[in-house]
Amino acid sequence: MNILSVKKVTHRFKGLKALSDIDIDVREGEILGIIGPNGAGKTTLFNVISGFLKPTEGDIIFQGENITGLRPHRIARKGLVRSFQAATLLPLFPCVGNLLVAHHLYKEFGFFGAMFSTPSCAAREKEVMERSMAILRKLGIENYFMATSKDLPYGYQKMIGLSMALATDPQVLLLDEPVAGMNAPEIRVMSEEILRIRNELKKTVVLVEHNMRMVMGVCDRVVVIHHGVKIAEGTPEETQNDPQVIESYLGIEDEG
Amino acid sequence: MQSVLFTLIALGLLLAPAMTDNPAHIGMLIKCGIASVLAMGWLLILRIGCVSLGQVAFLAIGAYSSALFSMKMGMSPWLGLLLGGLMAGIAAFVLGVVFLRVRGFSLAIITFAFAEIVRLTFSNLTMFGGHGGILDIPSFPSISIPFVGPISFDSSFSVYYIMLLVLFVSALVMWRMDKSALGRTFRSISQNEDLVQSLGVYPLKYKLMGFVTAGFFGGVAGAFSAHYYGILTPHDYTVMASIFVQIQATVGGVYSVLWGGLLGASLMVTFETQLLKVDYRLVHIFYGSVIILVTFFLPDGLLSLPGKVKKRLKSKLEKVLA
Repeated sequence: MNILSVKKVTHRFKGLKALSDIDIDVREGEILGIIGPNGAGKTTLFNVISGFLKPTEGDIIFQGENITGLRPHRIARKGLVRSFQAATLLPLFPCVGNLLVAHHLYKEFGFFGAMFSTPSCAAREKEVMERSMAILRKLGIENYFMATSKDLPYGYQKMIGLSMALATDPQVLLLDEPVAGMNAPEIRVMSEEILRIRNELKKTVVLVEHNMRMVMGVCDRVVVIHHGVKIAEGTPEETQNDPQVIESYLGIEDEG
Repeated sequence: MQSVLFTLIALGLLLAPAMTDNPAHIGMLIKCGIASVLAMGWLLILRIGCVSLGQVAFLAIGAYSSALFSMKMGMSPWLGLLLGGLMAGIAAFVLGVVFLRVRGFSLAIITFAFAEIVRLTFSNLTMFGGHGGILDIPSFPSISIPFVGPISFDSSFSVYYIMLLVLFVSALVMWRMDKSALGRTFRSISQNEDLVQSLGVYPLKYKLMGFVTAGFFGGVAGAFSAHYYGILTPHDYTVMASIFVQIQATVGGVYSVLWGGLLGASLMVTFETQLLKVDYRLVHIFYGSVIILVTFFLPDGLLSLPGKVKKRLKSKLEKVLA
């Protein structure tokens, strides 16, 4: 069952064709990796799926519904939530504040409820606070809940960023380079967390990543993009041995 | 702590007319009150990530609409307070719907341009009184309260309490907005709009809430000032006046919409009033030097001073003890 389909999506920046005729089907409950050399169009693809860019041509179908051209918050509301490559946090907020904001969709508050602090809104605030603290406890940084998020170690920043996306309770998570800039132990923790999200929380995960070892270890299927064109699709092993993929990463073998 | 402080200030403000019989002092307090409402609005707009360079536009819209409603249509100035606020709120809404999608410096320039358009419209159209402005705006009529009898508002001492009412309501609403989940959402938008959008927040909705609220109360303050002073001129609503609002709010501090606005505006207006007695040209020099000093030494405003002093003392103490 395809939960998310990208159909014949083309995106042009002025003259530059960043994506051309991309077709991707995401099956429910899988971890799909999107890889490709720098500038291949991976992040553009994410921006198109999550509504930050409108595709020049083509459609995005999510759970049988065409979501092409919807605003980002509408798409998030439908259960398709993305994380960001850099700037995954609100830099001036304490880390608990980040998580409080992330629970926006979990239970929404109304204007008057917030202004007059009605019992239901106060209860909501309390519950959201408890949930946020529980997330920090699980990450083991409960005691630093008031620390400004930009002062935290990088790995924790990324983990909080992921937790924020999770707090919205999405069906599909789009992760933009979840382990970029991390060291080996941090990558291990993040990989385990991504597997847990799929296995225990039953979410579908689509991730863009440069770290091949991580992609090969975590993903069920891999899609390779090069110059905005999908050049391969299959299991990690299949794509690894695909001559076109090797060519795009290493260049054409010298015949002379 | 905060509630004690609040009670003390409220009591002081309520009893202020009993402590002086000089109308000039009361006049200064009223000026402080109007400026505080504007400065709080400026800080609220800052919360949504917009540096407003046109805050007095709301004041102008409120003042002109209330004055004209009362003079041309015979509406009560009491109703004018509300209508002035509504007109300014509507203007903020229209401006916001179109332009709050813009971010950063461009948005600041847009607010600046908006304020200039408002001012030039008022000063160039004869239906608004032109350059001369509007004279003989009716003052607040007396009201009669059952069992208490009529209360007249013919002295600045009595009008002072109208200002207090306006100040109290605006402060209460903006303080609640700042400290509730709404304020948290405002601040998150100003830090990383893309991120909060991806979490399901519709930024424009929350930006509009803050912008329109600030505009509404700016308009109410404007309507009050029109009926209090009795005259209006477009020269009161120049860009410089908007920049003064910005300086007042910055001096107070961005930590709190309520305290920052109240403290900054009251302090600056008090000094300004004293300087005006000496030489009006000193006022601009004063504001200019204050903003330079504050930007260098206290970029977060006076509200950050206690924390800074505490930190300094603590490190000194640790050095002595070590």
